[in-house]
Amino acid sequence: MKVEIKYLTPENIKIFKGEFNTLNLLLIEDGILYKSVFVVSCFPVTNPYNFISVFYQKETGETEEIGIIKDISAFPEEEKNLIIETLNKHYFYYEIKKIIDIKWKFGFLLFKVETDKGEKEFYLKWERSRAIDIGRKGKLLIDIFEDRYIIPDVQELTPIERNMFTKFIYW
Amino acid sequence: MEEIRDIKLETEADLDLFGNPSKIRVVVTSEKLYVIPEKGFQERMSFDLKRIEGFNIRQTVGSAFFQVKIDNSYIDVFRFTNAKRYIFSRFLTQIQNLKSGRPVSGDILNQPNSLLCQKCGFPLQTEESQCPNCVKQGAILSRVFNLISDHIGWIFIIFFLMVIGVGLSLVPPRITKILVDEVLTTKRHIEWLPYLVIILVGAEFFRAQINMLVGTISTSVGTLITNELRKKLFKKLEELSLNYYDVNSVGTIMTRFSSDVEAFHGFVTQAGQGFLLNIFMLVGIGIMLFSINWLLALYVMIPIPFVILGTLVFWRGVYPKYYKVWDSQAKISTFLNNVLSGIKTVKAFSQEKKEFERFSFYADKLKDSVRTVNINISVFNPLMAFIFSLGGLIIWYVGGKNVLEGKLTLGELMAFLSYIGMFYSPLTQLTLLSTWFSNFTAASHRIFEVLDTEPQVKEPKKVIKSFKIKGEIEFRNVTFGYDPYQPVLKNVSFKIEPGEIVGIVGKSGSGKTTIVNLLCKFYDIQEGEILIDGKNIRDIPSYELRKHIGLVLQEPFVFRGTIAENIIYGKPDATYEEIINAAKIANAHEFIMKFPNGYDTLLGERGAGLSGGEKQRITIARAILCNPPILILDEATSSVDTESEKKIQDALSSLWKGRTTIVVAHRISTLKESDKIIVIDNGRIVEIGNHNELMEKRGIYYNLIVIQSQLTSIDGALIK
Repeated sequence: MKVEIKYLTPENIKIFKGEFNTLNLLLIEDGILYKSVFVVSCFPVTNPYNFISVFYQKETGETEEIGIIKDISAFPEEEKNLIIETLNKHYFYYEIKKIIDIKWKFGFLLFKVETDKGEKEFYLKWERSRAIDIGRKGKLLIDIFEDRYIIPDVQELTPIERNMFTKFIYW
Repeated sequence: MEEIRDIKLETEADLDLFGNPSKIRVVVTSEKLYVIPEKGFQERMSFDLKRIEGFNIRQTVGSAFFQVKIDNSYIDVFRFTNAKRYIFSRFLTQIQNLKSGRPVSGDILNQPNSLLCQKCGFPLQTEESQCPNCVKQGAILSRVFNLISDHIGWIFIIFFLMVIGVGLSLVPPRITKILVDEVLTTKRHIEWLPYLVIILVGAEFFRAQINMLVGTISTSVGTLITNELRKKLFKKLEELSLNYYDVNSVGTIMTRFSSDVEAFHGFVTQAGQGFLLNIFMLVGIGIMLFSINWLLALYVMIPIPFVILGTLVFWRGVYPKYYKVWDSQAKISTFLNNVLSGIKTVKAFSQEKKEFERFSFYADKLKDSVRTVNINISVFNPLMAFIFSLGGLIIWYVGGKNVLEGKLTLGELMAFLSYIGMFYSPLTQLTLLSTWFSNFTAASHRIFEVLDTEPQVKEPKKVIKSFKIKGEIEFRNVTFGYDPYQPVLKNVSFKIEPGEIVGIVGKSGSGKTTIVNLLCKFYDIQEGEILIDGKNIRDIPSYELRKHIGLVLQEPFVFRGTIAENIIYGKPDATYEEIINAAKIANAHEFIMKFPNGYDTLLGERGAGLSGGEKQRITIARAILCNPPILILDEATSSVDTESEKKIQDALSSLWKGRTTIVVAHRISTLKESDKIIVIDNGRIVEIGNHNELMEKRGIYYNLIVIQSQLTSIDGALIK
């Protein structure tokens, strides 16, 4: 049994910017215009820029999938950039460039780090579920507010930083 | 730039729409919403409140967008990190109030995050938790002493015996000195020999007796304290609301019971046989050494810095490596638990090879981590033994010279060497005192954290007597979310008359089970009221309320025990007649009697040996026995086969006669006879009425019936 997946291709949709920088999508065949759509990757870790699900918000605020973009490279450059820009808006994380200090205190780890968005300090609950693998080499840290910090490759840290990190995040 | 007047709400977002850290001023007046970037790439925006049709927060991964609805579509107007969620969930409520003409409070936006300590900003486990950072170490210790205060007499006895024990262990070297100097070398008092040996034997004998006593008493007191603490913890865990279990994994709670509670046992053992003993030993031996020869005693001190430094360096390096060992052990246990409990699936999909490879991976990790730790220990121990022996060698050299020069007797040297053998070991132990102490205070803190946690659902302060209820249920404007920032039920209101049978239907995740959870007071609502017989359930103790509610869940839970014990779980004093009667109504009697031991059949873990339908019928019998005025069936038949479902349906229809019954059902066909059906969609009630009324309406209920009828031709007859 095979379920019908509605694939969105340059042939059946048109993507363009709307009022207030929103992303609009026109289903060419049906002539339906979806305003203010957003996109989410089906495989954000292993294959972030393919199999992109496109959603629209109904009047109630609920969201519904319009279809899936299987291959983003098939789209014209302008549309492709719009999709990527919208996709990136869906994910927000700090990429850790340097670990300055980690302190343990009463079951929490206080991280002092340099990120791609500047220096940050955050508390992480010292639990396995708050520091999870991302890809084969990376770690995703989720702080007490659910803000996200990524170390793309733990092995790329300096030996001192890596020791400091694996002393606590040893899993 | 226009001047903004009449500000009603004002706050600040921390991201621009593209995700750059920014400073975005958000201002609301009676007429407009302004978004004013002070930093970042976003453009300034303003919206007439009149033009805005609604507001929404769209949660994305790691951040959220505040949206306004204009011309039927939602527009992102500003963005914030999750750290600001608590402000903008308040902002959303306030701006909605403003738009609908209700009073607004701008001050509420400035109130600090209740999940952070108001004094130091340290994160709290729950809003009510004490800040561990502000609780002084002394305070923790005084609480530890409070916990063990009932046994303080025994602790003093341990202390007293320990002092005697240390005194006795200092005797043999002194006697050795006399033996060598007065008997063996000078032969002045040959007749002392047997007496001195008797004293030596006596000292060793009493020391052994005292050690036995201290060990026995401290173990007894330690296990007693541990036992009391476990019971206290379990009682507390039973009191805590379900939200505690939503945020704390079972594994974490189990650790509290195992290692953290054991830390208390360790505390008593350590106090009795560990650090206190070592301190006494060090002081006692120090006094002895200096009293024999102060200059030689100073030489003994030479290796001390090396002992302390070596121990500290070793433990700082090796202790974290122990984490890896514990982690590997935990991973192997989890893996085995998973694979062995799902062995049927592994075999069915022929995945034995793959699982073996996964096991090998974890086993190799454990091997490597254990090897690393053991190698470190193998290097450290001989190294320390060498440093200890250095102390002895120095004394042999300097003391030997003194003996030859006549400044020291041979007996004094022998006594010195004996004391040195006892001196360095306690020193090593004491060096680790700070590590042990910080681990102990951390474990104590984790235990107090559970003991101090207040249940989210507050019990009424006024004690009320048992009462009878008719079964009238009312939800008034109830809003609730497991995550307070994302409501699952939104402004839900309905009323159920006593004795009515009411069905609740809706898609998965629409909020059906949440209604049940709230009615049973498993969680506390954020807004609105829930009334039973006109009484707010907040004013009814949970225990009292649940006595009147019979709950049959989708996943029947059967405890380890006999079938009879499982049926009488809610009414332990039920008679044999009542048990059989309940089982008969639940259509369970027939299959129970097929077991050789009938109702006395012992069921395995989670009801092993029974089918899903049989387990469900036992839980129904359990609910019948309690004879509750309110009965809730939460998807009670969704996980059983059609034949079992038919039997359960028959059982249930006899059960709900004469009592208020709420049936949450996936298979809508079961609700046809209900007095009322509530249709929930996305946390709101969208339709309400009986089957015929809703079918005529041709709305969501009608569509659900059509879909299900297409799936099962049996239900086709329902469509008229």
